[in-house]
Amino acid sequence: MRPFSLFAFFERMEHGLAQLVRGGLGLAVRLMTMTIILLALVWLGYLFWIGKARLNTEFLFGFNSVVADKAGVYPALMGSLWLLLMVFLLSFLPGLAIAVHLERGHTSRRAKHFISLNLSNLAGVPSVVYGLAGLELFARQLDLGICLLSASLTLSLMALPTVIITCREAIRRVPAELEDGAVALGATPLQALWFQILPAAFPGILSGVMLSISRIVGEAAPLLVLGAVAFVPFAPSSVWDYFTLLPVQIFFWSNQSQPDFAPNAAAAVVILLGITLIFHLLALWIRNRWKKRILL
Amino acid sequence: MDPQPLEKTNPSLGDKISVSGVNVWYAAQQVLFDLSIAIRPCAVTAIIGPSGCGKTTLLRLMNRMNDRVPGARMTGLIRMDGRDIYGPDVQVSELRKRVGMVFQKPNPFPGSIFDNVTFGLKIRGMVLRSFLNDRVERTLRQVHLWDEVKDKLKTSALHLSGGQQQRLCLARALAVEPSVLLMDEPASSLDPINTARIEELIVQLKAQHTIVMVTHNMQQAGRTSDVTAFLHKGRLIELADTATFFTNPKSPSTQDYITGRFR
Repeated sequence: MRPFSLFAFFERMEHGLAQLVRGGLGLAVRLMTMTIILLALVWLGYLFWIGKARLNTEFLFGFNSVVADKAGVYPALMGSLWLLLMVFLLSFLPGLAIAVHLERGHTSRRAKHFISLNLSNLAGVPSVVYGLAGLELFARQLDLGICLLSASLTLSLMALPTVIITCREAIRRVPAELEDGAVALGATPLQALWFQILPAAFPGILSGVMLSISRIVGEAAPLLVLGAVAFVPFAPSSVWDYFTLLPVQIFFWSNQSQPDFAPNAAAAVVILLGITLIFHLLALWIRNRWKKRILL
Repeated sequence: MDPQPLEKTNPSLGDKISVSGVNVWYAAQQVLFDLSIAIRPCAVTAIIGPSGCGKTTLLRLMNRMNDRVPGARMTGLIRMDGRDIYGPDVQVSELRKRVGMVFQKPNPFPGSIFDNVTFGLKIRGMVLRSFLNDRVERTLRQVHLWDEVKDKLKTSALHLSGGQQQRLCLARALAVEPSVLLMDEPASSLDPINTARIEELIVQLKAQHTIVMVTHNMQQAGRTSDVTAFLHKGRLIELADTATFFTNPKSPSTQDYITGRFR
């Protein structure tokens, strides 16, 4: 008997796997993928069908009501859009600045390691905990109250670790030769960063930031803890206003005992998904335009 | 305190760059040992030697690119036109404007050919369109790239071939009119035809520029350089006029190296 060899074992295994794939495993995997996609589409179609009666301008621009047919989603929609913008403004630039500092600044390796470790931990902290922290820190200690600003700050804090991590990745992927070239021409480190490194990293930065922010804006849990309720009779007109949001609205409507509110919840889900989709398409468009501008 | 322009001080000294008694360490490992070398103005100096002998380190000392290597430490004196380039009043970015560099691997910026050539000018605030146009044409002609790219200056530099990219990188360095050009194996990633072009260019450019070139190709050193320096294990073994260097080397280890007895 031949002695056991890992090389030979892998070779036999790969051979066997290839035979399995030829023998129908590949087809099975493809079928499974198709099934999952199909299920998602069916679910979306079902939501459409349930909510189709409510998918009209009256619903979109109406205010909430105790009567299901008269209730609209406008305050929640505006709240979500406000929040999207605020979280973008509050987490993008600080996140990018911190990422640049960690990647290009004079931070000792030890400090970098310590910060990286904490960042990945923070990215994994449950959202409810962020909600509680936001309630205490922003609403109570800083006395901002329960308003759009404290909600935005809370969610920005929650988005920040992911934003920093994705920005760092994007900056790190820019080849060092690019910076060498710029610096060798007499560019200062800041000039090299601004004119060469950041533009080259921008597509990666943008998709990372967009992804984490659009995820954050779909969160209901931290805002429920912060004190958001569904019944707000006006759309926010400043950051100091009280607010409600689409995920919160969906949560309350789907919790109602009367079945009349189910179409409202379904329609609101469709709108929320629509916002996310538009946001992603926008990011894709900017990204492609930028790549064309840079690379032509 | 205004930093004096680098080229003004002490023009009487004959050497463009003089390196004296330089030691370099990367962390605990010493890579250059008490190295002294003088670089003649408006001539090509080739630095040859086996891999890991410190030739690239020596080159990167001359425009202070080694400052950027974490853990690198240096003692000794390097003067350009008689002035200490590691002195406290020297602005590194000013120095690098006077001392251009071409790298081993072509590293064009992602962006148009035009933007590549003008980057060095733009960061110094030279943005006048007509001036930039003139300078782009002049430098691209200088590197014999103009005829190939004159109709596509606005297209990406990354679409050029390797040889074209390397000539573009040379043009990019020349656009800011450096007095010294450092080249780190500029032809090592190119095919024979493009190598010949670059070598031809180097010979032409020495009329206005002092050129220091690292190469592992002895034929290249013989063809293009006026002075050749041989480095081995971080020490300068021999420095002589290229003709003498290859026909009548003094040191036995130089002889061994150029006859291929060790690598």
